Amino acid sequence: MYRFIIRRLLALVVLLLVTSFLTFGLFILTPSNPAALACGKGCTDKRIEQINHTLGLDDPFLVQYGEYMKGLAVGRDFGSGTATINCPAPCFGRSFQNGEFVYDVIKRAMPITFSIAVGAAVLWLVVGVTIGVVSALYKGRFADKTGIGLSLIGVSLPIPFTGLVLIYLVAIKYAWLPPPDSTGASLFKDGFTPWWQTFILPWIALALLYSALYARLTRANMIETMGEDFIRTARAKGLPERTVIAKHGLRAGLTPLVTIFGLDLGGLLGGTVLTEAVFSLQGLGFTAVRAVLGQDLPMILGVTLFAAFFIIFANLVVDLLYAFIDPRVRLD
Amino acid sequence: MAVSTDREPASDKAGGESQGTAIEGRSLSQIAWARIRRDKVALVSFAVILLLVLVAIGAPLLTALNGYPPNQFNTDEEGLLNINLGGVPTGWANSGISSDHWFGVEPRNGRDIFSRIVYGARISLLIALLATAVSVILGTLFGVIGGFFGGRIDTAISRVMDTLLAFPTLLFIIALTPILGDRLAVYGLPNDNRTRVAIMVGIIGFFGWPYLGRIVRGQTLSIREREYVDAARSLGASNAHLLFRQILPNLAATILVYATLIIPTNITTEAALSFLGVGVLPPTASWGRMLADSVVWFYTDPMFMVFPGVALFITVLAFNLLGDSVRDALDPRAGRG
Repeated sequence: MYRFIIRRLLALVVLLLVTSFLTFGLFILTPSNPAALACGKGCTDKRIEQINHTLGLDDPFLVQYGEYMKGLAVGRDFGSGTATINCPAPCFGRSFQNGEFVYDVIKRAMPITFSIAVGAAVLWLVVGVTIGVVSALYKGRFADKTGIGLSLIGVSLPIPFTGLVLIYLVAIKYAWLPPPDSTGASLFKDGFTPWWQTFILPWIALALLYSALYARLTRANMIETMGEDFIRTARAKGLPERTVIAKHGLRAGLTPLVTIFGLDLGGLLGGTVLTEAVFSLQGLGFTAVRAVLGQDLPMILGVTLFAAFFIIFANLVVDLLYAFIDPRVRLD
Repeated sequence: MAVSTDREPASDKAGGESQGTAIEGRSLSQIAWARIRRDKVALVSFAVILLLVLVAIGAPLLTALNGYPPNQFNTDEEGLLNINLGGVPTGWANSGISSDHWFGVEPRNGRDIFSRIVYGARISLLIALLATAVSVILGTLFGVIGGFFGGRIDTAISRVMDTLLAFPTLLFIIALTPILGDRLAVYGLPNDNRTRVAIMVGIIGFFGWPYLGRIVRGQTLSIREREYVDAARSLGASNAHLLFRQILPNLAATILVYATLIIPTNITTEAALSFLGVGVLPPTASWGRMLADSVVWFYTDPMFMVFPGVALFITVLAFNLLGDSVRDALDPRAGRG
């Protein structure tokens, strides 16, 4: 068990290094001159040179990459002499646009993305799994056909459209909720009511899409499981149907969902890009898009790396969890 | 999927087991075809897709019919836009819908929404289909190579696929699209919409191939061990023969199903990119871009968002339904008949 965990942790580090290297490659690709962007209008060549030096942009690519990784691990200093600014670990770099540390921006954006992703996940798990199980148990009947029809519509709903329709109907036309923005985004600072009022529409928009996916997955898994020999055995020894479903069917039928759920959640924690853009919530995805539009490379790099970390970490957690709940998995 | 038409009635009858006809062997593609022909949902979604493709191809004809090119401002048209309300269209629900403008017009500039929806279908299908082709080619190529040859090549390909799958794909596509555009401009390519479309096709297709590659690799691993491949190999068949005559034809069904299911994802991605402002360049009509434009006009002209949104929804739904039916039809484990 420990050997497996250590091996996976090493793989995680390698994967992170590869990802960061590839993401860092964006820096070489970009033809725009970051120093000119940071300097603004009316900039002299001398000043640009100076900025290039301060930002370390005149170093070779590998040196820049090494500096960046060092900054992540132990922090780093920008500039030299009296103008030195210390960026403590984990240092994801400094924004070209306003000199803010990328990690500070990430820390501000993270709770918002977290609220969206986790809230939506709870909602879609409850709705999706329920629809899936009911559909599987009543396979071919009216409930099944309705459930599957609805889920096919659900997976086809594009977030920009569902999001806009939800905002229009709920926040504008009938004004049941205040118009969406980030003002009530902190559960601890703003209290429960503003918090759920801020996030309920994003949750619904995301959950419509994901519930549909999970309903289909659950249904397929459950149908397969309920046809297995051990279910027949359980029935044959006289267990009531309710016990057969609850104790034997659900456990085996829902186990495969763990993998997909972990990866989906990990992906969303790295930035619910579209949802945040539609609802003007300033989470990680919103930050990333704004950085792209403003050509703020350190910000793009930091957020992408952060998101990659979540996905890779989710992979690890899922593997461990799976080994834990599925007795057939052997780790060595 | 090529089945001669004169055999279908026979196979239909055999499915019903009504007559005492001779038992006839049927290939999987014949069974699948018969199933699809009886699947009303599949037929309807196929018809919708066909219609969309025709609309996309015939976009210039359709706009010639109503007389409004997609990028033409109709600001001087009498009584079309309400200048006092900041250029909101007149008429029902401030949408500008009339016998001239079937889907209404955009606020402020008066561009015809029907024409833009029709041209938006062009961009949407063009990018989604080409990107799917890129994914299918790369995924099949690397999946088959990895699965067939095994060993170090397989390990290397599998590692690359794992890494790509662990990428925050959408974020990366968003970051890369404008940067690549600027970079290509340095090499002398015009930074216009055509380049942008090519970049989007390349990037979306590139990040899509590992999904297909993994499935193809797994299938190849199992097909490689089948008896008929062994038989061919023992008769001295070359690797090329095994790959192209034995393995690829048996992968066709899998590839077809997953290609159909990648298309709607790519349509959504294109719309997402354009919605976020890093997709196709204005003034090119794109459904995602139109949705983004409609946000400002929420209070006054809510119909503006309905047409691009519904167009996107119907297109994605049709491809999802068709993909689902094709998968069911090709599933050998599903009940025959």
